[in-house]
Amino acid sequence: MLINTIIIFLQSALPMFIVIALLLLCLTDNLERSKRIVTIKKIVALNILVIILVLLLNYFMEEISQLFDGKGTEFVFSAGFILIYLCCALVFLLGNKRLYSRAQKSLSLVILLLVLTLNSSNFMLYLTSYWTQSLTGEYSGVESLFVGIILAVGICISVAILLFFFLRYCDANLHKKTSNYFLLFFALAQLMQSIVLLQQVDVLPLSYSLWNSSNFITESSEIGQLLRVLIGYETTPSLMQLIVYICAFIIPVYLSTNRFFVRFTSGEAL
Amino acid sequence: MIDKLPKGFLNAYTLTVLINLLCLFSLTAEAKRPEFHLALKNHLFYPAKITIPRNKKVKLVILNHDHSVEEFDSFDLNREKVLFPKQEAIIFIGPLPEGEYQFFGEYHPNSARGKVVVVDTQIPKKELDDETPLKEGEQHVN
Repeated sequence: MLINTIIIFLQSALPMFIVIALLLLCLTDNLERSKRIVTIKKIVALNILVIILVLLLNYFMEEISQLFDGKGTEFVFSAGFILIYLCCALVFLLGNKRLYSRAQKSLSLVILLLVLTLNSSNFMLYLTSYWTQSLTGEYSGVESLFVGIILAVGICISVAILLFFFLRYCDANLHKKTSNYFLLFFALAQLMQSIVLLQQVDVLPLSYSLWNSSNFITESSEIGQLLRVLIGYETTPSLMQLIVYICAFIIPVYLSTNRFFVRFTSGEAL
Repeated sequence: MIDKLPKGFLNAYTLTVLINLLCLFSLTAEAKRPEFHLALKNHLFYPAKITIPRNKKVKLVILNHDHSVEEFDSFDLNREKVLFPKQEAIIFIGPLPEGEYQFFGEYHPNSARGKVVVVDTQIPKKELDDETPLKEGEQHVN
């Protein structure tokens, strides 16, 4: 029970903590480090909104799952993941330009809202299932649930802090856009999830996997899970996944280096 | 005649036809998939072993007989699906090379376990016989 709670919580919460760390890095440049990016008011409003959305999603999840011949959940979640990718790609494209700092902040709030809602709903289902079973006497020992959550939160916070300082170091010493690239990889991971969901219900064509890297890093391992969240690691990717991954990476990177786009975002072409 | 049509009509029309064709194609394609059934009862999967043909896309219909939510999860198959109580869930798997692919119920990983075995025959008849509907009191493989 304890281990299971930790695993499920980590799967749900790790993307949330990682995206918070990435957005904090992307929204600050060297000159603005001391400035407050988000206000307490916004954080409270966001949390209330997320709680309402998660409760609503959890309440209607069963009905949603039955929509479109049982493909409802996949459609809703994949739409959410695609939206996360688009917003992250826009944040990446706008870079550290102060002209668009307001737009970046709004996009970041949308990303946070979606990531928190979609991932929390998974854990909420587990919690609901647990409570239902504990009421019928099938399960006992609520303390293991709380201990599991506390331990998992600790792990998530540690990973997020380590990632934050590692990327801040990389931004300062290696490449100033390292954190932006990591945000793009995170977005690709979300996009891969949507592809898998759509393939799962046969909306996108299923095809043979190109390779199997489970001998090196299995997806179920700790490092596999972390890589899955960070860069969208797959042990058995299909050709479609690979094509989408490459295109979804190249297009924003190409645009960000494109002369006209750079001039446009700098305000010169306005 | 075409000139009299409202602007954008042709685009909308073409789009509708394309969407309908795609839907039709998707439904036809889906109808041809071999279907395999899996049941979840008392946090156990029945049958615990499903045999499917090699290099073929198949439809897996999972019925949750329990009163609680479960999540069908498989790292090997790269599938994850929430199974609501007394509801049927459908996922598609394959085409897969020969081998064994583990799956489990994420909320009860110690009991709800099973595997998909991919074999080199078109219709794994012997194994299909094992996949007859669950009988009351039947002993689980695991």
